[in-house]
Amino acid sequence: MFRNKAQIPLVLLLLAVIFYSGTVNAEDINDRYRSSTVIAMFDYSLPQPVLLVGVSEPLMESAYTSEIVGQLPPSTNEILEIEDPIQGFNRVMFVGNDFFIMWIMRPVSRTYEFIIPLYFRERIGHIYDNSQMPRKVLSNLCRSRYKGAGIEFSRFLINTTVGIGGAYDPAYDWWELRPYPSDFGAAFADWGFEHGAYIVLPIQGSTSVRNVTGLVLDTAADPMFWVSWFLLPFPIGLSVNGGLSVNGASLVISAYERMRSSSIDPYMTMRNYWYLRRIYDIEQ
Amino acid sequence: MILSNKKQIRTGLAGIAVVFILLTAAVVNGEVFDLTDYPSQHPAVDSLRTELFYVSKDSSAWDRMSPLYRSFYQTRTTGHTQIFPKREPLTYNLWLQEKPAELIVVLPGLGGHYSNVTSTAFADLFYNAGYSVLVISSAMNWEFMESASSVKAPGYTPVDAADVLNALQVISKQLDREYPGKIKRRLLLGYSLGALHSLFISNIEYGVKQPLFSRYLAINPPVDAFYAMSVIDRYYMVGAKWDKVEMDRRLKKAVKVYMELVSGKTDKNKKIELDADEAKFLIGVNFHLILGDIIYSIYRSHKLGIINAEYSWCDRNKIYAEINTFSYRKYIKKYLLKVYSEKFNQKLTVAELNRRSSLEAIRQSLMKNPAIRVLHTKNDFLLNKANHKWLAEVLGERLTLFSDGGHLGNFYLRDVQQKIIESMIIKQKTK
Repeated sequence: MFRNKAQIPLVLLLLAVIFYSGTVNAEDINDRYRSSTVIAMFDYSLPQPVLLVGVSEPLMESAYTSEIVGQLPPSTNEILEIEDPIQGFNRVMFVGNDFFIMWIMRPVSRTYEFIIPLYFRERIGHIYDNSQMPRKVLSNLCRSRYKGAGIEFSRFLINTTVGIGGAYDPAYDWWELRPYPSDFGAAFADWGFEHGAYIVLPIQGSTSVRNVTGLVLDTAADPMFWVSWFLLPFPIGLSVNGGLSVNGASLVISAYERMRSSSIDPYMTMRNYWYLRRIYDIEQ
Repeated sequence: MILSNKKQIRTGLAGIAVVFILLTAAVVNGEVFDLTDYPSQHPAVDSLRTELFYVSKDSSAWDRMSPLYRSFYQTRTTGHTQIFPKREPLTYNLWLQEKPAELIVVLPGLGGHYSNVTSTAFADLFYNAGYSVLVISSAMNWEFMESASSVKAPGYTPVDAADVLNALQVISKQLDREYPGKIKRRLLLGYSLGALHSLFISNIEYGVKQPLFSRYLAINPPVDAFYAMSVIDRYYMVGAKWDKVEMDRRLKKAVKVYMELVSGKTDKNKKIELDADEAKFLIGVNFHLILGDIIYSIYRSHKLGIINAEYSWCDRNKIYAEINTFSYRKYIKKYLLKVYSEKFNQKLTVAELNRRSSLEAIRQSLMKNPAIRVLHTKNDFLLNKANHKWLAEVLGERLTLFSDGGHLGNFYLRDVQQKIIESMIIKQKTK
């Protein structure tokens, strides 16, 4: 795969011919083979660039002397169609959530990480994801993605049985059934509803008017919600929900910390990333 | 007979000429490596493959079952060093070998943060090769600007490089105090803009009795700093020709492909399903956002009167709307010219600033310094033909060219990684 470029012999042959004919000079070489960067490397006699390397490029002439030519593309806000009319409220919520994540969730998560190794946390995450079958199947159906709904249902059956309650993913590993993730926010998007305003909710975090509406239906289609709040005794239901939240946080909190430390305005970074992520969720 | 002798002489001369050219070519051309299996597309599309370079160690299930398991990133030490009084300390990531080892300092590209994925992947690569690794933010990253920059606006290479060297000298002293005997030699690696800075640092240290670094490896440096910025502007402008429907369609496609690339779902051997314009626009948007961060950082640190929108904690849309009108060319004109005309107390032109910021300004030391190595690609979009010629002429055999990869888009290949590691090895002089 990795071998020396064998382009020199042909070039040398051409050069030898020119030498032999007694007419060699650098300008000739340059004129004849201007397109070849290899030839250009032999070109000693051309004047050295005095001010700018590559100043002869037409682009350079305008690059330093003219104002911006033409209209810049739309800004990121416009490209991503971000409406943020209640930014003040959102920023307050963001600061509150950030405090909650960094000063409450992070220490709890760190302790939890120490007790439960990553491997088992991943399995718990998979089991929870597997339990979300009704949401994924119903929202796929609402989006007329019948194949997706069928595959999600098949994945649920296989992973629940062979995959030990969803801890493992034999549906993909053995039968190559790729997930068709979906939610009701994506269904609303498919039906033509716009995002509406960007909203940061307490604890929940980034969302939009469209997604909040979808979230209500997502929750209604979440079996864990009904089991933990209506079937189990309250303290146990609370523990299950809290445990799942801490488990989920332990898998992503490092990424959040990294985003937070590397961003000059974490609110904007989070907002832009969330919009891009939603585009991906809907498109995949 | 005479004719025959003449012929022999001419043939002999031609032969000598060929041998001479062959020898000269070997010196001038440096090495060219053909990446034969590389799924080459447009240089802009190839450049997106830089996202395929991430921490390589794929931990086993047994590893992850251990409560003591940490990902490579989590094994770092995050350090803080005060560069200027009354400012935030500069933060860096450090991976230190247990035994004394050579320390490689990684300088990221334009706007790169010390925690970014590519720098961490380099850290992983070198740590596994037995080196200790330190990563700091780019001189054009807000974190570095607010902690260690001596000027109000970054982008003028000689000063930025001097600031980086100053910061690294302070950090080195701190490391020597905190980890005595742990660090042997120091080696510098920069990629993209970081590469340009590393070459300027080599220029500052050239001829110094005890330079901080024994090796300067520059990967894909722009030769002409402002030309590179104008290419980025041109890439961003690609989006201006699309109407709303077209933009929406292409954006959705680009985001999907890019997110799969970032999340490791892309087959490395297959082509990326984006056309050149979509890739150019993605690159342009990315660098445009970085420029936004730079200007926002200047806005909140210095009152230069260039951004006129009032600051409001609750609503920064107006500030960002004004920042969004900036291209790199506009930044150079509005910020760099203003700041440096004041600093040098003379009216400067953009061409003059660029002359001092580009590699041509340090040609002499680049030609002579044996500690320099440069790795580049033949189809890097930040270079034009004249730049390639210039590099080959100045660096000779210290330049290695890869046939494919665009800008930084071939790091994920094992062979390229091997070449990068080899370029760091300093051969001991035999007596």
